[in-house]
Amino acid sequence: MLFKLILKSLWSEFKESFTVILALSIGLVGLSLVFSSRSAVESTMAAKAQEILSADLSLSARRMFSDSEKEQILELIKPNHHQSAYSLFTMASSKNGSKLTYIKAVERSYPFYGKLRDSKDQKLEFASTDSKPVLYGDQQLFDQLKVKEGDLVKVGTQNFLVKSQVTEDSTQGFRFSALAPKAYILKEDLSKTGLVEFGSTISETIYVKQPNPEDLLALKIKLETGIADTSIRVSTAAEAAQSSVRALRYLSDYLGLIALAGFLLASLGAGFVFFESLNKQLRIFSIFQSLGLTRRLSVFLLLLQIFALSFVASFLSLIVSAPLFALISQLLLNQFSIDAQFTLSPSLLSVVFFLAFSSSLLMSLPHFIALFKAPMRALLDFEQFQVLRSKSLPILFGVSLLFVFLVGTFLSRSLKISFFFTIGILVVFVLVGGLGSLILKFISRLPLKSWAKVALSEMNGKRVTQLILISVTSISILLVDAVNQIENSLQAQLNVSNQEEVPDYFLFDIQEEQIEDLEKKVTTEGLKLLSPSPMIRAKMLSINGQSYEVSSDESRFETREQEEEARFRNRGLNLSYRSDLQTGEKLIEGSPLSPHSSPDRLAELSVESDYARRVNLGVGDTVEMDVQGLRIVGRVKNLRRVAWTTFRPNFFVIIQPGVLESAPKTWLAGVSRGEPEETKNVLSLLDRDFPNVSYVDLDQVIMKVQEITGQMSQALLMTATLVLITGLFILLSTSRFHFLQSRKDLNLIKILGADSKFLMKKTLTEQFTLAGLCLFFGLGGSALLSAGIADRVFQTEFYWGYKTPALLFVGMLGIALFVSFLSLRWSQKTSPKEFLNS
Amino acid sequence: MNFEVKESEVVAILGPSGSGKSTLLSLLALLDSPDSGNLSFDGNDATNWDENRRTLYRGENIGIIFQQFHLVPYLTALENVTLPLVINSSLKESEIHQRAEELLQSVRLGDRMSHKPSQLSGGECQRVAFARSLIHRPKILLADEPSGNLDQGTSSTVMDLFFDLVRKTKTTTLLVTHDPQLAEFCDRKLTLSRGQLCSSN
Repeated sequence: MLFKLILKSLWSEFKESFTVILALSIGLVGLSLVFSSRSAVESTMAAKAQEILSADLSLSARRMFSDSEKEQILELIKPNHHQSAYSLFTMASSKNGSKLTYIKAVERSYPFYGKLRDSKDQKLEFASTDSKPVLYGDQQLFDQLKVKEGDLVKVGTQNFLVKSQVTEDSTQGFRFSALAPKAYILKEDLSKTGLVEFGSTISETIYVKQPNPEDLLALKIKLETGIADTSIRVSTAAEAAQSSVRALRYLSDYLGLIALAGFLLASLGAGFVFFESLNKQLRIFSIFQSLGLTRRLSVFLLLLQIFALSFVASFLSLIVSAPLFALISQLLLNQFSIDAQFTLSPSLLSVVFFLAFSSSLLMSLPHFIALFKAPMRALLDFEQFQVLRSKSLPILFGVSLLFVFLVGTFLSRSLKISFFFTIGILVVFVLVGGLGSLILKFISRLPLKSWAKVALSEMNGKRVTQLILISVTSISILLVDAVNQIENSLQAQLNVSNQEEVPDYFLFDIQEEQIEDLEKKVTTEGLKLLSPSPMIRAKMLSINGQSYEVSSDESRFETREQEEEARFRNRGLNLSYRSDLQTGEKLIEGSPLSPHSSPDRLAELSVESDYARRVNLGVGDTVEMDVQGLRIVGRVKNLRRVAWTTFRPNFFVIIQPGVLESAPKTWLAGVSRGEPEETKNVLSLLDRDFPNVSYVDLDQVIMKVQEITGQMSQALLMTATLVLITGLFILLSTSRFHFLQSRKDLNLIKILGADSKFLMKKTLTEQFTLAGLCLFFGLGGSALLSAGIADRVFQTEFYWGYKTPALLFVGMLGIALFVSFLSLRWSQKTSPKEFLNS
Repeated sequence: MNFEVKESEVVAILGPSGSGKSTLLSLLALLDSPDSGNLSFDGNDATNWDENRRTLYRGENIGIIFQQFHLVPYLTALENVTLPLVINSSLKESEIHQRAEELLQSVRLGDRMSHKPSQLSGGECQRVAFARSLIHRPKILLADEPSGNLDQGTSSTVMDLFFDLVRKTKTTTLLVTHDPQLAEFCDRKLTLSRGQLCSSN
């Protein structure tokens, strides 16, 4: 019976309870969508892990294994079934042209798991026809090379017969705007292409079948312990599946943070509206306590109320999210070929409820403390027994930030990102609080008309409420605008078609003996070879005597930073040599490399600035490297900044001339832009005289990058828009609340002679000032944030787009008008005699 | 101060503002503990009871009437009256309701049971508070200026009812009041001044 009475209290405060529920559920929608999407993708990938890897475990490297390595690996993995495959990017050409293609050379028994089917729904058969080896290609290959079954496709120096199209490939996994079409050939046929002899970059993978999970784990440990070379990666099927959606995971991490911002705003707004309601609850509980209800039971009953509100909010958010799940499911299938099934799992319900309950609890914290700690005798003086808003704000704010940091870490799986995100929110509130306070004080003192003066004085008098409102709305505006501005800058930077320094094509796998001849022939055709650069494969061993590589055992990683760091370090390094700077480079510290090395001094190195920061390298540091078996020690002479969007060949580490000239190498170069006929001739020349040289159409690459950037921005923008809707909802609901608080003041000025015209001007002044401040802080903050991210993260110039700010400007004015209209309607319903009666 | 209150006695506590009446009331209501000395109820020494025990004893044995009534605004008159038993007893809901109805009848609010406090006048609210303070048949009733918020006419009607009820139920009552005329209706008067008991007559 007591429970019924307690829940009745929520019903009696229906408007406040409903506002809280609605605010929380809107805030939770974004988070529900992010959690459920992430969970759906991860569980789909986990279920298909074996099919995606095509085995239970793989060992891979971005090179071919040496004989001794193969021997060691085979010894470690026996008696398990195994098979191997090679893969590489190279040119495939038909009579209709050439395309960079991803070639996978497999054994007949490939794959262990999953399906690889042709257009006749049959397993791939690699039996030669007319003494020609066969090739299976995907839809993209058929479309781009304009071939059909029975046509010939040349790979390297070998012609392949196109047997059929691959229509089902469960090993495909997640295709995120694939750069090149894919083709399958038989492993034995790879040597016929001559690409192995040419020294093309070929990756090798050994697949192992071991379905028993315990034995699999034991095998993994055995391999990782037994193989010292960290460039050989050992992955289980689960790890490979997770790896394949890494880009999507990163996107969902950032989406989660934006959704969290929305939830924070919703919680703040809900807490704001619920504050006075909670004060009323405190008085009720003090009555109950005077009648014999223990303090502990009082706290429990208040918890019960919070539980009820949170439960309804969670439930509502999931109902609203449900139709959106279907939309996202379709999006994932169409854009990324992931057939993810969304379910309302107990874990999703638990997470959503936990967030709703925790945030409601945190918002009510001052009241819980009061309920628990207030001396019993205070029950006789109910006017004292209430929580003061001004005293609670610091507690609420601090606790909210901690909550944001903890949840942000869980969402982004990164302490660093969560930390910066939380600090960012703190900075916004402090800036808005400090600067906003000064602005309100200043404008309230300006010599203005009476209605403006009254409006601004009132705003200044209720500064705390106003600044909270402004902060909430500004953050919403900031997020929406910032996503657009950052995308704008990236897209502007990628619109390089008019930039002469950007090559038309990018060439790689050029052999040492081919570079001179290639350069001459390209020049003959009227074009230029841009920034021809030797590329030498190396490994960094130590920096200033301290070992550089780390174990790649993924179970050791607790945060994403650790995982990324290990992967980054173990990847190996591509070196080049020269002394001068190229187009798009700028020296930022140190002095230029000497043109020749000296035998009595360490080799001089030039390091790219971001890479240097990441591995903690500075001018003067010594670096030890393994260059294909040869130990080289160098000293960092300068740090340089590279504008990667010039798409010229460039390297993290460059060594001065005279050190590595005799090392095995391939060359990279760009081909300058020219007339279509000139370009066509150069491409034909490459196909004919340099079949091992691969080339990429940079315009197409840029288009793909722009497409990906656009897709990611859309996803971020959708979430940011949800945040904006939350912010506006909070604005509307707190306006109503704020109006009720100001009722007495309104009645007073009516008694003192304010007519409807006066009230209208006063209201419009308030609302437009509020809107103006929200836009000032929101758009200003967005400009600063976007400029900072463009410069620091993407190292690109900041281009400010006016469309989104213009839309937001118009939108906020509309909201100001709407709220003014509502306020005036409410004020018409109040009567000055209420003032006399109160 | 030292004093005793006998069973069924109605005692008035008088004194100017700041004399210690509220402090005394909070001690008697077990909302606070004395710094020194003893406090006992029915021979039970309550001086060193912990908060939980004091709360439970209060709920079962003490009734309190406040100057500002302190009714729960979203509950009806009937529901307000049932509160002490809802919180502390194991009686059935029907039994609790029956008792509450009887009490409201006795304070002449039989036809206003389903009204909320906002729909009742000041005098009616105070009568609901009386009924609430007696539903659990407390051993002691503490009243803090029960007529303080009422006009003179209403006050005399309400207080007549009050004394009628406490005499009928033979409830030991301590009544804090500023009104010496009201004190005349009590069996004894305790006068406080600056935290000291000045007289007891």
